[in-house]
Amino acid sequence: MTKEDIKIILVDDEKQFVDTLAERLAMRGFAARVAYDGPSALKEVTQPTDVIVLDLRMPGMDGFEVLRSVKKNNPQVQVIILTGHGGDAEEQTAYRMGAYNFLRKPMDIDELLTSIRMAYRDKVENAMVAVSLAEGGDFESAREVLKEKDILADRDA
Amino acid sequence: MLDRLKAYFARAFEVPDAVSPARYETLKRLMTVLMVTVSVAPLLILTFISHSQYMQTLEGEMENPLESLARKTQAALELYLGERVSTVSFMAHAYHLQTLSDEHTLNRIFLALKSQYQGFVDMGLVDKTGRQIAYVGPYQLKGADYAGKQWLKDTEIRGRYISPAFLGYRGYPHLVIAVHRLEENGAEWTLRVATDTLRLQQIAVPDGKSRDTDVFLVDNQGVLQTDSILYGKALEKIPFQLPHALHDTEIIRKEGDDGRMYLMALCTIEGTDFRLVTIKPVDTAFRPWLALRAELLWVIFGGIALIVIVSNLLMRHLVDRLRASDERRVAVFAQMEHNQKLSSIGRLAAGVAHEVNNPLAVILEKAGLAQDLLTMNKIGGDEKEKQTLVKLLQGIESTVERARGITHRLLGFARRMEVSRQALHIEEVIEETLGFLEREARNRGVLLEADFPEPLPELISDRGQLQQVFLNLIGNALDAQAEFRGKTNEARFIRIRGVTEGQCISVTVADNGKGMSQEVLRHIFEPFYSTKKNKGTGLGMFITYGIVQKLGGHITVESTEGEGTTFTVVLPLTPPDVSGEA
Amino acid sequence: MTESRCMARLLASAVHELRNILAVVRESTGLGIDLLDMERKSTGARPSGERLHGVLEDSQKAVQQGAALSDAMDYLASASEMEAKGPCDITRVCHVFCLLYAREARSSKITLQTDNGEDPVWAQFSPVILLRALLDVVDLCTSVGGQISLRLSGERRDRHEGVVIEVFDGTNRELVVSALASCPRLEGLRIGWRAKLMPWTSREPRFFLTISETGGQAETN
Repeated sequence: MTKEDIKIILVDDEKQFVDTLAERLAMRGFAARVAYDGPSALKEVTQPTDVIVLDLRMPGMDGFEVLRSVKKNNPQVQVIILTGHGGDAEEQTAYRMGAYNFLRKPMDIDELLTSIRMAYRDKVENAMVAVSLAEGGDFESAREVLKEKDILADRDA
Repeated sequence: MLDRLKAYFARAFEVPDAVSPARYETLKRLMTVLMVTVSVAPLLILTFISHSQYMQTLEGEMENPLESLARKTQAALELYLGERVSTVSFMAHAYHLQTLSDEHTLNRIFLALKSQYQGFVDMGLVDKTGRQIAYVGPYQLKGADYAGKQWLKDTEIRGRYISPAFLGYRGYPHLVIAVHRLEENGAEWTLRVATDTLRLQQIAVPDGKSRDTDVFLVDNQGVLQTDSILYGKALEKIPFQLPHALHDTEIIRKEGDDGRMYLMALCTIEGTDFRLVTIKPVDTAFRPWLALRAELLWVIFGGIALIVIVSNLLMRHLVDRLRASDERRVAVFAQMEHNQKLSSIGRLAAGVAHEVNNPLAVILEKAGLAQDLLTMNKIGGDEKEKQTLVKLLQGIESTVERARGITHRLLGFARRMEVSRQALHIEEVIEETLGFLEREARNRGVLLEADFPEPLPELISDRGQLQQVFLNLIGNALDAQAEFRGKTNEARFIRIRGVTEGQCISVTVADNGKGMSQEVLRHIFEPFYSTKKNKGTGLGMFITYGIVQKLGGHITVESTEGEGTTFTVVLPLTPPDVSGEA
Repeated sequence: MTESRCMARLLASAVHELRNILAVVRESTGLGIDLLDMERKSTGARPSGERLHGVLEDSQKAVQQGAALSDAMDYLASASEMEAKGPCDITRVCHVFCLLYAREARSSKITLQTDNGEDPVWAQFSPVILLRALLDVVDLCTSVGGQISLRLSGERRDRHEGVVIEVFDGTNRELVVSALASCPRLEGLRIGWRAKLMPWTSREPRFFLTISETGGQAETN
């Protein structure tokens, strides 16, 4: 099976779930790293990453904190929330904070994969748009596009 | 005795706290009695004061004219009698014995006297042996012997004397004026003059008998000297004893034989043994007052009746409104409690749903992986690969167990929600509640501890409501811990401790979270008071307080800002009798 | 029946169902292990992929059901927080009700179904009120013996929103239909609200359940 070159981190304190999922993703050609809590996730994300699949309820640092930190420091990483606690309020907060998608457990693996692929494509497309703008000399707009897609953090915020 | 009275009053007027018919009946009674008492008491006091004042004034009013009449009559009588006596005295001193012994002279003098003064009837000269040696008048009294007679003695002692009345000439009462004379030559004699009491009568009662006041003279034996309206004509005896004579005019109230009250003025006539009696019936003067009093009494009793009726109606109206308001409040509280119950069920439902999602996800992934392994032909006859499958399936099994455990707790809760009163062990209830919040606590890094140093006795209470109370308290503590970012080196905890205290169980929920200021502490149990911005209704603690009260217990809180909070719930082992839940 | 009791019953039924589901998963998985064990014992042959597949598929289906149930419980939670005036999607409530109460209904031999329409039918009352009314209707069916199938769907008719209840199968149809047709007074709801069950048309075994606001006081029962 061809490997799809999307760099994924799975973050969840439920070890059995996350390990099994990683294995299944691996069988489908996705290399996924795992982290069992917030701090480890943030450490992992310093390595090149495209998509993080993130649980919300974790002991210590919860998912929202990780989301905030990632969007601030690694804005080019897409975040997909995958949680067993899925209230409407939490969903809205996640989107507001820059998550790409909000999925509820238990989910179908194909659904997750679709979401990961779309998140990656979205990221790449935006980068390409920015690049073409930049090549055209329009650095302003390039920056705007990247900012809008949360790929480039607003450093002044 | 006093204790019994006190007990009776306590029972009659003790207002029960619970919303019940008895409460409002007692309240109505109590308030009506209070209102009536407060309205009527001053009224009655005023009435009594006015009444006694008025009576005093009235009596004064009556006594004064009587007294002045008595005095005036007394003065007139004294003047008249004094004048008469002086006249006789003058004659006794103007003439000598020899002069007067001569009957012609005596006659002449007598006629001269009669021409100037009305009323004199006869005149006589009595020597010192007591023999009337000269007489002029209509009777055959010459030579009469008065030796040893009291009047003679009195005259000799006093010098001048007025006798009591006696039946005289023409059947009319007369009295005698006698004057004793001791001449320089040693001659001793008495001049005696009789006079009718007509003039006396006229002075005593100037207007005839048309007055309501009875004025008459009596002597010291109680014999009438003049006519009396009440007691008969002169010379009859009055039926009652007169009190001892006083120097001043005396006014006495006296009940007559006919049952009426009389006012009597007594005065002495100077120079005599006579007493002037002025009697007026009291009731004639009082009649207009009595009529007025009757009317006033009607008004007062009418007024009191009106006060009682109006108070009764007013209190009934007010208490009914109070009752409606209380009932509304109870209904609203019940509604709020009910809503909160709904909320807590909802919360539990959400909790279980979320909790169960995770194991479901694990099962799904594992089953999915097993599927993957099979489809991708990764499983050959290899023992190791088969073992992988088996391990996966076993993993699923243990996850199922885990999920079952989650559901087990909730089932227990839902099932027990129905029963409202049962014997239970509060440790169980608390452990169960902790179970619900365990995961959330773990997520937030808060340590949940339950400490029961000694086994607690059974408590009779409502399981569902108890759970609600502790769910609320511990849930709040969790929230407080979550917002608190101080003292990161100290482990954050919530400690629940239960001990027996006499006939009660005391449970404390202590945390080392952000604590509460004095301001917050003051309002914490008030409705719609919340320190959570945008979250919650502010009713949680209010309802918790109400539930604890309903369970017969009491809840208190202590807190230090920045250090932590401790709630203490005290519950009786056996709750008071309360009506069953709707 | 108070609203909280109604919720408790629904929740209890849902949890029972969840346990059933988990039991299914356990059994399927157990079977899978047995199959693998058996094969191991018989000299290293390949595990019969199809049966294993079947086992795993069963587990997965069960989990999906469990997820749906969990979703329904979540909805119940949000419903309990709602104001008396809703709003509520009647179609969703019917789905949720059928999911939550399926287990209890089964014990009275009543099958609950919803139609497959996805269009929401919005109404201005709290889902809790509707859930309670539905529970009353099912209780009524149970009290006359159950043994029927009910289909629930949200509909709008004459500017009234409500649930169409169809008694479409079962041995006890007649009795249940006549019980429902007697326009039973459904137990007093929350003060200020009333539920009415009326025949949809005179011929079919269909009924229309509506919820409306009363003027002020609840009707006396």
